[in-house]
Amino acid sequence: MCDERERLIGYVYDEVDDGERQRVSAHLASCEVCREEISGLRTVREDLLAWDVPVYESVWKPFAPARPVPWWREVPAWAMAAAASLTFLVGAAGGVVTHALVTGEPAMAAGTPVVQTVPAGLSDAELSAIERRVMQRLRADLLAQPAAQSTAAPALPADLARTSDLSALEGRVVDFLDRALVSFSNDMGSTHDRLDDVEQKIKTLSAGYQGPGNY
Amino acid sequence: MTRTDEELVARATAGDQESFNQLVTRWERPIYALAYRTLGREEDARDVVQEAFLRAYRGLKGFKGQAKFSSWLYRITLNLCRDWIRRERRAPLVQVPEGTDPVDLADAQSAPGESVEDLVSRREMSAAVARAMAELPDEQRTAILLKEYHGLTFQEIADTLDCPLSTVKTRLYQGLSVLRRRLERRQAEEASLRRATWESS
Repeated sequence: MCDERERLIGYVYDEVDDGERQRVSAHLASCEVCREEISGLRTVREDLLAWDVPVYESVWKPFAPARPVPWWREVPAWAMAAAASLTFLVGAAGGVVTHALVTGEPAMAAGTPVVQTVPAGLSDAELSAIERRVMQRLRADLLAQPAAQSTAAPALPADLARTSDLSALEGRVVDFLDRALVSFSNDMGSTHDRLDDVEQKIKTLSAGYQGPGNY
Repeated sequence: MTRTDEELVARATAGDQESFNQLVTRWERPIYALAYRTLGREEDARDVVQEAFLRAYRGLKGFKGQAKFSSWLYRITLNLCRDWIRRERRAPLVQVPEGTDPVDLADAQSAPGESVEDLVSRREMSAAVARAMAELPDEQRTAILLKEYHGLTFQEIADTLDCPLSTVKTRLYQGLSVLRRRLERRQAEEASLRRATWESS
């Protein structure tokens, strides 16, 4: 027993079964050396309890609980882009319609683009030539239409169907274009007048300007 | 309701981070104590605690429950301490507990009913034990730490240190025997010093 230290250490820590405990106890009763050994081991175990550890402050940063993901974060990017585009288009369409309702004009003003697309600086002779070409083209189309309609026969609009005389229709078109041309010429004339006024005012101001002064 | 380590480990493995937080809260002080008593320095021990739990978290899926969670954690901690000692190429430090000056000790937290003299004596014994433990071979010191301060069974220590059961008992016996001799010698020296001081005064 005295040479079997493992049995003593098991007894000291009370990690032996009942039979082993009884055998060691019986041995200690008769062995002074082992009694002293056991006593010394128990004493040093008590001494070990004196070893303090400094106060510990946690350095661990707890994991934050997972935040619930908003539903819109799960929508694919392409769907978000499509929704944004659709919203923009609906808004733009609403704005155009609203503008048309407020101003009483059609959404795409007919007169404005025509004025803007006519090249500046056309002479009356050039405009007359354009008008003639347009008239010839319209006349040719209108004369060619009855022949094409004999087979396909799409229905004419109601007011055109009542007008049997193509010459009368041609006359209406010519009148319309004449009025449009006169209106356009008047607009250009008044624009020229306004530009002349502005130019005159600039000259007047330039003549009276003496340069920057000391303020 | 208090959950067992095994339940918390299962939940943490399934992604419940709060369960892992609870494991940390439960085990960080024992892990710190083990690291501190192994390394002997507070800052290093705190670093080891943090790294040990990070490694444990990363390795949770590999932990199959073949050992107790605490034993697994102790093994991670001891490996980290061993790496630290190897990296620093030096023996564990002995950080002597602060202040045996009575003025300092008057402000120190003492146990209920403990006099200043008792507190001084306890501090001195703590420092003496720390020195004696630091001088032990690593394997003996580790076996004593796990047994005395963490209450592991012989078998758990054997599993943690990956050695036979009989080896654990031998290391414990040898380590305690060495400590006993050193502490008895120290006590004899202190008694001699006190006697000399009393005789001179």
